[in-house]
Amino acid sequence: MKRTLEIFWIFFKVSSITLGGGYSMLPVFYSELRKRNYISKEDFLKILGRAQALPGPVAVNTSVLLGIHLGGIRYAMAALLGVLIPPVVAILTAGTILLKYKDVWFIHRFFVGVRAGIVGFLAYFLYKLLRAKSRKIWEYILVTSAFVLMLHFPIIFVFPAMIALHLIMKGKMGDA
Amino acid sequence: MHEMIRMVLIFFKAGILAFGGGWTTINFLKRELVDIHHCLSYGEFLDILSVSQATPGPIAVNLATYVGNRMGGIITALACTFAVVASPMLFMMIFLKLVKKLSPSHIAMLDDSLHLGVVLLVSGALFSLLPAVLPDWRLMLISIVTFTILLKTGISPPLLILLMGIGGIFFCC
Repeated sequence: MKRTLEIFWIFFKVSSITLGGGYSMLPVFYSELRKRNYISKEDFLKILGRAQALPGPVAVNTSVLLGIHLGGIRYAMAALLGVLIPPVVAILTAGTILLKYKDVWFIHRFFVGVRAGIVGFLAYFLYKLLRAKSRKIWEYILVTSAFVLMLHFPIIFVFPAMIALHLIMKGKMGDA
Repeated sequence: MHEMIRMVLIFFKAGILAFGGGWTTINFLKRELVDIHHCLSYGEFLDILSVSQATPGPIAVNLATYVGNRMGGIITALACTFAVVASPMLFMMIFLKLVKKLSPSHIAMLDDSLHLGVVLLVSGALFSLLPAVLPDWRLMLISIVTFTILLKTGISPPLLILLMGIGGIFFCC
C-alpha cells in the first residue's frame, strides 16, 4: 500500500507542475523514477516508444505502462489517477475562472496571443514530424489524398483507412 | 442523460485518435463539438485550447473535462475525462496481448504507418486552427516568430506559447 501511494504521489506531483500537456511530463517522469532507481534508461525508452505508438494521450499511456512495469495493474491505476487528478481539478477551478473573465481586455489579448503561439507550435510539430523520416513520393501522395478526404469525411474513418492502406502498400513493396 | 452519453461517445472516439500530447484530436473535436453538434462556438473552442496551455495536463484530457463540465456539470466532466482515457486503455490491453505475437519487423512497420498517420492528424489540427490567425497579420507574425524560435532554440514549447500570450497583451487587439 505504501508503494502504491508513493507511485500515486510521484505521478500526481509531476502532473501538477508540468504545463503544456503530455510531452513536457516525460523527462520529469524519467528523472523522478531514475532518482529512486525504479527503472533503467533502456526500459524507460522502450516504454516511451510503446506509449507513443499507441493511441491515447502520451502522458496517460506512459504512466499506465510505467505502472505496469513497476509491478502491475494496481500501480498502473495509481499512476493513472495521479496523472489525471491535477488537470481535472485545474480545469474545473482555474480554467473556469479564467474563462469567466475572458472578456477582460488583457485576458482576452493573452488568449489571442496563446492561440497564435499554438499555431506556430503545431507548424513546428509538423515540420519535425516530416523531418524525422524520409518518405517516398507515393507516401506524400497518400497522406495528401487522405487530407483532402478528411475535409469531407469523418477523420475517424479516414485515419484507420490510411494506416491500413499504407501497411498494405508497404507489405506489397516488401520494404518493411 | 442523453446529452451526457453523446458527449461521452465523442470523447471515447477522440481517445482513439489521441497520439502524442493529444493535439491530434483537435481536428476531430473541432468538427464534432463546433461544426456538427454546436456545443461550443469556434471562439470558445480556441479559448479552451489556450486555457489548456496554461493548466497542467494533456490537451485531450483538458478539453474533455472542460466541455463535459460546460455541457452537464461535474458528473459529465468526469465521465468525459474517463471516456477519453478509456478507449486508449482498451487498445493498450489488446496491444500488449498482441505484441507478443508480432515480430519486431511488423511492429516497426506499424510504427512507420502510425507516424504517417500522425502527420495526417497534426496537419488536420493545424488546418482547423488556421482560421484563428489568418485574418490578422499580427497573429500571423506571432505564429511565425513562435515557429522560428522553436526551430532555432531549445526552449520548452509550452513556456514559449505562454510567453506569446504575454506578447499578445501588448501586441494584439
